[in-house]
Amino acid sequence: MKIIPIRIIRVLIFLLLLASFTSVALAQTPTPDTSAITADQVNEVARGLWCPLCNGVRLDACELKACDQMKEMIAIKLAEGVGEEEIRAYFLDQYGPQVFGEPPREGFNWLAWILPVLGLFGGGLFVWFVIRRMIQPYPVAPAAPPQTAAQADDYSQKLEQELSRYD
Amino acid sequence: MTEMTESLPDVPMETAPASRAVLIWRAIFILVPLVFIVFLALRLGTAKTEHRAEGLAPPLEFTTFEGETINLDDLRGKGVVVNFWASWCDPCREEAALLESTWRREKGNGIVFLGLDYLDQEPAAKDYLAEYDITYPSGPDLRSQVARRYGISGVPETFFIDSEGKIVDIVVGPLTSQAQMDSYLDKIRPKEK
Repeated sequence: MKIIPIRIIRVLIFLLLLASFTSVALAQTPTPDTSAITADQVNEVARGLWCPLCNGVRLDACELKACDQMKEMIAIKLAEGVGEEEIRAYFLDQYGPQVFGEPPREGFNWLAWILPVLGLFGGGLFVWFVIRRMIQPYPVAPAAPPQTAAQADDYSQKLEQELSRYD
Repeated sequence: MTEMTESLPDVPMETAPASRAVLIWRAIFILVPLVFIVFLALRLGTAKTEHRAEGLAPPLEFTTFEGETINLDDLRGKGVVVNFWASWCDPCREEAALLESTWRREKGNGIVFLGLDYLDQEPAAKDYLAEYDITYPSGPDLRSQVARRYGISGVPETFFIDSEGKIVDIVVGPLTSQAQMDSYLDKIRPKEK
């Protein structure tokens, strides 16, 4: 029976240990240290996002557990050195465009973008027409031709006659 | 007085073209929103629940946290339990152990459990799965696409789909007992040939 030299056994044990440590290290994906990230930094990103569960509540103002988790994720991403735009893109992939608080600019949702503009334009035109009609000068009767001296005398005479009836 | 009034020039209060323009504008302002509301109502009524109206489960495809792609069509012939959950959802925790234990008991009986993680974050979701030792396929419902198709009202919500792909029952809120769970499973159990 052939005896394996102790030196080779030592090397094998060393390699085995190294392999096991390496696999453990690779299997764990440690969460980056977020202690250096301040709440203000997180809120700066969170201000541009909306709670996916509430209506009209910004992420930085939301106190739901789901939103706390989102803020934790922002802190993790910031600690990893991920930029704001990439974080926004990440949340878009996760939650869809509702996380931006605006309808996506595609298909039927275009109506939500177009209709307010059309409404504003139509309303503006209507108001313009109404105001224009309101400030239009009222049609006045054509001015009477100036009286001649003879006409004025006739008028004075008639007036005198009428007044004399009451004397 | 009367004479003076009569002597005023006869001026029309509103000209005919102007009043016509106002009428047209009024019609536009009433008709446009009306048409929009009708259009919106029709679309909302048809888009979401075409499959559900026929009793069929809407298409479902997702990738689990382990990277496996699951498609409901591939599970035809089996009874499928689709559970929408989230790590932030406390009522989901009430049924988590029951779902897992039932899955372990039924996986050899032609029943498949699927978990769809709704509006959640992966680290928290994975912690939740580890906490309840959940082994059935579970993955994120990205952009809530499946949730929208199924028209869920919140989490937890569980769909029981029979071997022909028809939704047999929907449970809104947590499943509370084994007896309740079994009564639903009996309805979707594949028929032995």
